[in-house]
Amino acid sequence: MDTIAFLPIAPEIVLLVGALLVLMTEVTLSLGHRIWAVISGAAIALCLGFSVLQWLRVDELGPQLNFTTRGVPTVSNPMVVMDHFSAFAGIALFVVAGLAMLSAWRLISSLQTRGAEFVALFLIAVAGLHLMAISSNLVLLFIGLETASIGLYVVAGFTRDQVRSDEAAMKYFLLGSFASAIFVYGVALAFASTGSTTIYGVSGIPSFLANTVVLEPGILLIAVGLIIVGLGFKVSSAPFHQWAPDVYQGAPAAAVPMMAAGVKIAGFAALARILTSAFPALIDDWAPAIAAIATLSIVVGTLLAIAQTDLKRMLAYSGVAHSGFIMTALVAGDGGIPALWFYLATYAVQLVGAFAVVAVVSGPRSDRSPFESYHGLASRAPVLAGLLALFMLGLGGFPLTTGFVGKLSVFSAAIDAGYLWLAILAMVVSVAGLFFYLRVIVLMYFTEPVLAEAPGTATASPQMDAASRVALGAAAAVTLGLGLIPWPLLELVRHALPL
Amino acid sequence: MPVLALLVVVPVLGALVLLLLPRRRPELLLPVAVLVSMVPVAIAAYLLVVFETGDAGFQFTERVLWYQPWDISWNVGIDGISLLLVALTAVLFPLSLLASKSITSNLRLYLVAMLVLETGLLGVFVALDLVLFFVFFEMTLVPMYLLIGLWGSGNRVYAAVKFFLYTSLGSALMLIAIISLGIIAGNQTGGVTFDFVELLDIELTSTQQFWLFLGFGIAFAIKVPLFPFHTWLPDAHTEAPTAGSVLLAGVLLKLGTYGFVRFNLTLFPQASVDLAPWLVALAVIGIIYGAAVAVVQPDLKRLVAYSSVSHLGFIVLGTFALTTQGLQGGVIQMVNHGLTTGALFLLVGMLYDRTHTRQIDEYGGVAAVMPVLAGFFLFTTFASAGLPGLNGFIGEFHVLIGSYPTFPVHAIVATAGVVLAAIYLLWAYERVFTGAIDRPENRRLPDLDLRETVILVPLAVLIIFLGVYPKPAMDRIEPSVEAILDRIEAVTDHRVPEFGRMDQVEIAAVEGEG
Amino acid sequence: MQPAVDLVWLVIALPLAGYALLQVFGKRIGEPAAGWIATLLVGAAFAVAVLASIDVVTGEAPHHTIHLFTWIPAIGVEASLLWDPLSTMMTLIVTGVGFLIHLYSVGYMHGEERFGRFFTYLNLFIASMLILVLADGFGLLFVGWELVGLSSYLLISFWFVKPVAAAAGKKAFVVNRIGDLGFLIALMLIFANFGTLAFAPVFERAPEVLTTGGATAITLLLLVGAAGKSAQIPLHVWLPDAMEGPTPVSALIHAATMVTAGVYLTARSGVLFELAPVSAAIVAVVGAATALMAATIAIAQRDIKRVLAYSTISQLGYMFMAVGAAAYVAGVFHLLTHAFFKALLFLGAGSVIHAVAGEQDMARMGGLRRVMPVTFVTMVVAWLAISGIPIFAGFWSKDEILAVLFGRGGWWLALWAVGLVTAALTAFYMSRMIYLTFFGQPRWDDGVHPHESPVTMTLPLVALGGLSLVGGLINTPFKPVLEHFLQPSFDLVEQAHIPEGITPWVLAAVSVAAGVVGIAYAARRYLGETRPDETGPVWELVEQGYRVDDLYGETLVIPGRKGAEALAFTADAKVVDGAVNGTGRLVQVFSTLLRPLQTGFARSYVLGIVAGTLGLVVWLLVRGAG
Repeated sequence: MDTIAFLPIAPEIVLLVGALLVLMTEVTLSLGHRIWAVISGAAIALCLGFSVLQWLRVDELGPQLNFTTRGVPTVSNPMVVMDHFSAFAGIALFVVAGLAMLSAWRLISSLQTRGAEFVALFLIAVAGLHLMAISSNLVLLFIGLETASIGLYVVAGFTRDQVRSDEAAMKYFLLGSFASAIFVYGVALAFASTGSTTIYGVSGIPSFLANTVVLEPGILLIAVGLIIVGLGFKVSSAPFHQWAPDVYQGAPAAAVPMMAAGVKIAGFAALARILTSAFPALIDDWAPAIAAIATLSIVVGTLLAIAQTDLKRMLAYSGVAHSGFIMTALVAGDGGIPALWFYLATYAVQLVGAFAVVAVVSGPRSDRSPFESYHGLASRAPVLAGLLALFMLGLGGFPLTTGFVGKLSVFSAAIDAGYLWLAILAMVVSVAGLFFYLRVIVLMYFTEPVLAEAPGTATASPQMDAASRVALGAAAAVTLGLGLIPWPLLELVRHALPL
Repeated sequence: MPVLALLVVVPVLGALVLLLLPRRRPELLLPVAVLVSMVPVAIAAYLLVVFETGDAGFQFTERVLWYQPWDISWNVGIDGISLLLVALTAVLFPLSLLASKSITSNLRLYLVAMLVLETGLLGVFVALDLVLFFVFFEMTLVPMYLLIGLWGSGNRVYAAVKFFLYTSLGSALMLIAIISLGIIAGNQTGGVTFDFVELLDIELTSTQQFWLFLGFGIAFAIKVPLFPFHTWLPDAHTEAPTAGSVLLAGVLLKLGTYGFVRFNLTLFPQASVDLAPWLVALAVIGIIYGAAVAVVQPDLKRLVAYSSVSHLGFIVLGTFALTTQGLQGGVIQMVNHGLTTGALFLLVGMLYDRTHTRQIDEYGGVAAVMPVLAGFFLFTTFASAGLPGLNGFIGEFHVLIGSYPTFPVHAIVATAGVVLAAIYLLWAYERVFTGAIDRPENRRLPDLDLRETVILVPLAVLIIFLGVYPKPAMDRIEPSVEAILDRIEAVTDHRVPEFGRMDQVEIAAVEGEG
Repeated sequence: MQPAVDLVWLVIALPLAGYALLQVFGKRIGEPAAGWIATLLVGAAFAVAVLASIDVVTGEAPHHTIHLFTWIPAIGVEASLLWDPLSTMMTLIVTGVGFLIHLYSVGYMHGEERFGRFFTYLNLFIASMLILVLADGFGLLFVGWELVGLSSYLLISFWFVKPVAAAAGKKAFVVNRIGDLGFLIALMLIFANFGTLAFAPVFERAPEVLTTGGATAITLLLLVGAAGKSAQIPLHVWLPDAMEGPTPVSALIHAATMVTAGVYLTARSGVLFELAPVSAAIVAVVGAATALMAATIAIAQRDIKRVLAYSTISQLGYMFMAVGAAAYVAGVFHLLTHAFFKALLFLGAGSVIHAVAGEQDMARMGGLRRVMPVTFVTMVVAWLAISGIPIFAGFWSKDEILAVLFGRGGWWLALWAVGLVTAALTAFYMSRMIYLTFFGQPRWDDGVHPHESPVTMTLPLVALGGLSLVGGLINTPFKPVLEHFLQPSFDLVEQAHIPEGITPWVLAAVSVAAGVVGIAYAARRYLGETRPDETGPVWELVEQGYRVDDLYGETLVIPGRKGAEALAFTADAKVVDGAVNGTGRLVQVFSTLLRPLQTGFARSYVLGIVAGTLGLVVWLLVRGAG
């Protein structure tokens, strides 16, 4: 290609422009949050459009490698890659981002002027996350990772008035930087042993590994290990998960969805691309490691979730377990990626939905969401309770929800790859997991409301604002609709493979 | 006309209709629900009439491919075995709904749950695609969970959660087994498939069969429930509302036995033959154990619940006796137990509606004030105790006769269950209904009203009909059963013993023991 | 085939229709119409039976099978009826005696609020009993077998408001069920061996199919069933309690018909017993033991109905001795005569009880002969019949049995001796009953005004009296009509016959003497002025039937319940369910064990990450190297 195609990085451009616009409009002609809504909404919608466009372009032209360090298109050491994988990552990411934005809107509007910052940071973070998914260069990937992280660190601590919020931000920042450091070190070692930081192209890592004998295989293994740790932290897989509960809880309820869902999408996208495209040769080494981490995440996440009495923390720990389930797909290498995508995308939507309910029930700024506030919710707010019940069943992997199809595909992939033991273990533990999803339903339906205003209970009968109504509606529609008729999405993810 | 699709979908559509009914007309809810549940009855009746007797294959089959890569399809059909269970399910629902008059709180949700449950149950019996089967299998959990947890009594939440988790554990393993089976098929035929009929043709090593059998078997054993997986049942039955207990005992438990017959025997014949002694042993333990435990239950509902453990034991015994008579008996016993125990739970519910107690010792002599109810109860009691001329006997007789040649000792021990049944049921009847009324509050209990009589009469008629003239039912079961056994004989060294030749019988017995 | 024979199904259908009709409308029809409907239907059944029996009696075509429909295809159980001499005779007894007792009940149950219900059950019983005797195979026979158990249950606990009545009904059904267990297992063996349950093929192929062992097993199991129905040791305990039912029920079910089913079954399957001499001997011995024991118990009863109950058990023992000794005709013959005089005795007792306002204790009767002559006379006939006084019905049948036993020689002589002693005892306790009831001074309470019963009750008494008087003549050594009549039913078996020559006459004399001795001694003891003292530990032990009930209670019932309770409240609740809940608790324990790791301090989290990283890397390296 002679002309530089901007399509692959169009979303980044749009999002950054959007962020700037928001800030500028705020300082110049402070029009209040409506205008930010328009801008950010438009930006995300546009990005979604671009991602779809990317998909279609790949359909006709095939995958594209773009942007060398010198800005000329080449296949030697490309910076970003436009394939179905990145396209789908974009689609999933922007859908989730849109929903997260909607559910956060009540918070944003309540923040007055600072809302602008929130929106801007949010958009920037999304840009960073998208970059993680599309970059074919480990260094660029790291940049994306940091961009996203920094944005989210701030968002996490956005409600300064709340001590926990600060604490959360602090922890997130410290541990996050630590993990990033590990990741960078991994990249460095990878470069040291292969002389390359690109995943694709003639001078990419795989071609090197294909053509030359690695003198120090140990270094390479360490590199892979560190990269796994770095990204494993982002997707909050055990034993790198401990930040998640504290941060999820401390951060304002409305900010968590992006932190939880968005980061998982990007993190797993990056992990999957690196492992399957950069180090396919080493699959016999990293697959067992992934399996081990998956096992640990599923067991620890489930066991700890059982002990929780706060919905936010419970969701945090169940998130750990879910990243374990997602990793279960990854042990199958390339073959697992469709399953991974399906599970990841649908889980993200369920999670956003669940947190949206939390944001409504406990208030968008709240840092706690104790179970007491869900006692008898069915009688106080039947619709809300019904939705949460649906998301709980989805997260529990119950048939007729996307959760079931996700588990079905993930375990199929694992069993197909010969990891029967992992599938069985995951399945059995997931039954224990049902316990805490059911408990939420029990609280909402089978117990009387405690009218003594429990801390974190916004109101006796919580009301949904328009935005979260839309978000919840969409999330529910996806969870149930794709649960009943998953074929379209399954068909899509089957092609959402990396170059 | 996709009659089976209609059969399965109608209840759920009805549930949607209920959701749309105006809030200010609550009195419409129950009638509409009953009306909706009558449609499957009509369809079932149509099926019974049109069904091709003597055809062992699946009839009324529909196959709509849903997802090619996994070959998952809306793949349904019925043979003689599922036909009767579909009919049973269809019949029990309107009756249970009619029996739900005492439900006042959140009636709409209750009826929706019931109708969703009906779809799930009907779906299970017609599904010929393993994933479809599993979906329906699981689909029954949530409504039943709600029925127990929301409208149950006493310790309902504990019972509901226990029921849900316990059965889910089984389902989890079954799902793994289903996936593995599909993948094995994929490796052999080049395309993953969950189509039951196609899966029949794939080759499985005896090791594969063993583990897959367990994967399915544990799920079904929990559902049946087979000793020692039964402890969720007394709690669930006892706490559930009347309709819940009726459907739980009447249909839900049959999911387990049906699964054994439909899938384990056919897909894993070798494993079935190898593991039959174990299952039969557990079944016989269950027969005696359940009956013995039932004798001393102070709670009438709990007593009936344990009696189910005993009766379901007969079904499993007959199934894994691997003889024509035994298997036929197992199948017909599924239907019979559904009718009799369903009726028993309805009657206990009617007692409960009057006195709000299930404790046997809080009754006594009430037959004097409720002769009709007492009559129905005694009638059902004898049906359940296997009195010839009533339906219960047909199943047990088939099972005992049929299991003797392959498992003589087990069969003989199992007969004790027949005596115990008489003991626990008649003793309960004696303590509840006979003697003098010693509690003043029991003096003026009303007898059955028209609605309750209307509920019970159809069951009574069926109980008598199946007891006096089971031939039509057996004729429909027989070919399907033969097909299953022929298949087992074809691929294993098991030989279905020919009656009337003791030498053979002894050999078979030895095989059975060994 | 004669058209009348095709109508045999009507014999069952008529009372069944009566049952159905009364079950639904019994209350509305009410007294006395319900009673008359039931009675007439049974009468009609009797008429049909008589019509149908003609060409059987004439011996033209002794065997008919009437196929109705296929009941259980897979096991080849046909709903088809066998119409041969034996079943004809049984049918005639059931419908004939049944009719009389229905008639009697119309009067006896007068004023009973559940009058209609009573006849509902009565008709149900008749139908069930007819299914039993007309069945053309073990399968259908078992149906009748169980159904008579049901109707017996319903009728014994007819006055269910009395706890004892309810308990007695349940006891009867359960004990019968225990016997049926044997029957059921026998059916399993028979089907396994023959592949069918129909009589004809089983009996024809039995010799080549069955080993002696197999035959012994089957017959012993059948005996268990028979012992249950016919109240033989050790399953006799239910019959005395069954007296809680209305007296006509005792007469019909627990004297004339149902309890003889065991004898019928044994006689019917004589072929099998022939192949298993051991079983046959055991049958005879059980019969002898029962006969003797029950007779002794009967002596010590105060309740007039319990005397008759134990007497029935004893007489059934006689029949068992007979069929055990392969004297099937003799056994069936005694069954016939016993049906007459025992039904009569019960109905008479009922009439007496009726007269003295429900009193059943003979100590509170006496001197009734003057006030109720008809009852008295008929009772006397029955008394002489059962005591084996010549020309009365009982004499012929009882003597034939004793003669056959004697004729078998060897150790059978012991059984003959037992029979003889029992005969004496029978005469004694029966005389005791008659004397205490009808002779001596009136001992009934003031305000009780005994009176003769209405004609509906006395008519059956007279009829049965007549039968008890002459009924025995149907099968005398001079002209064994019954034997010839029944012969076709026993073609396949080798029957034992009474010895030739003078012996029978001697034996007859001896047994008559025994009877006379019994009567005479009773007369000395009870007709005297002083009432004999009937107390003391031994007497009470006997009076309470040797406390067999208590024995069962302590050795079976109570331990059984204890065991069940242990199973239910310890094994099930604690162990099995404990394991389930334990698993759940275990998971929670684990989760609480993990919680401390979540300290909330960033440093400890870093530690976690570092540890994880090192672990992972080291593991990768080790695996990579190895």
